[in-house]
Amino acid sequence: MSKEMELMLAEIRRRAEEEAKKILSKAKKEAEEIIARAEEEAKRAQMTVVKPEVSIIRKRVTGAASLRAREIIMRTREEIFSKIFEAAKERLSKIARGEDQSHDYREIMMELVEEAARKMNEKELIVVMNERDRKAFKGKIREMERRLKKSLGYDVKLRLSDETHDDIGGVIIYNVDKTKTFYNTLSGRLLKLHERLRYKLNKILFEG
Amino acid sequence: MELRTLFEEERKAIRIVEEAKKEVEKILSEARKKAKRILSEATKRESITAILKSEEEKARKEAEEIVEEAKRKSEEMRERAKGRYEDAIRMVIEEVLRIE
Repeated sequence: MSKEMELMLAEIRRRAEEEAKKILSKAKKEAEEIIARAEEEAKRAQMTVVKPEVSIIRKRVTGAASLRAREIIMRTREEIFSKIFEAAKERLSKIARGEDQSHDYREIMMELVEEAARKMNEKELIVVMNERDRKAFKGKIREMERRLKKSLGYDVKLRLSDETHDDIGGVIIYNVDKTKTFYNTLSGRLLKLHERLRYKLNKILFEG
Repeated sequence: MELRTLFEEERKAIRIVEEAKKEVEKILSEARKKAKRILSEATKRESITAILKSEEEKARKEAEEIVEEAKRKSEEMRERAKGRYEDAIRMVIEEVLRIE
């Protein structure tokens, strides 16, 4: 067999094998596409079936977690607020006992009585203090009356009650027939502010 | 003689290509069968249950992350607040003693 013939035969074989290879490769690619399309379609079909259930599961599981997360944050915030209010109460108590000179407790008491008298608008008032303050302010009632007259513009008679309250400081004030009561104790004022101060506390403690 | 060999080789070449075409049919037929199987399996209860289980697991992990994130945030809050207690206490005292 001539050399040319051999080359020709080899070329025919090569072309046939190349053609076959191409055909098979195209078929494999097409097969892969068929399967990929089926998988996609299967996924779509599955999602149509499971989507509502998945949504319920997610809502149940992550919803509970979100709730728990909010609770954790809320508890932490409350715990810190509580510490602040406790510390503030302790500081107020020290001010009232005269152990903290940053504020003049005598002046505070004058203002507490004055505020109550202004709001109650009565000519005679009964003042209730705690045991310690009662002793300390027993001799200052007339001075308080003078101060009230000056600021309110009319006479207000103050009577220091024999009964006492057990708050850290401040006053409870009644009118004579006890139809009106004004609670102006330090703890009471602090308690009243708990809700109102949350926004400010949040800003001071956690922002920035 | 050489011409016969050439024809013979041509026939062999045609056979190779035809074999390949037959193989194509087989490959595609297998693929179609597999595709059909995939589709019919897809919506069977077992497959759905498996998906739901896997989705629940995903959701559970996400839930754990949500809680962990809250714990981290909570620690950050504590840390940030620590250095600001005094300002907060002072503000509360001022408010309590702000007498009208």
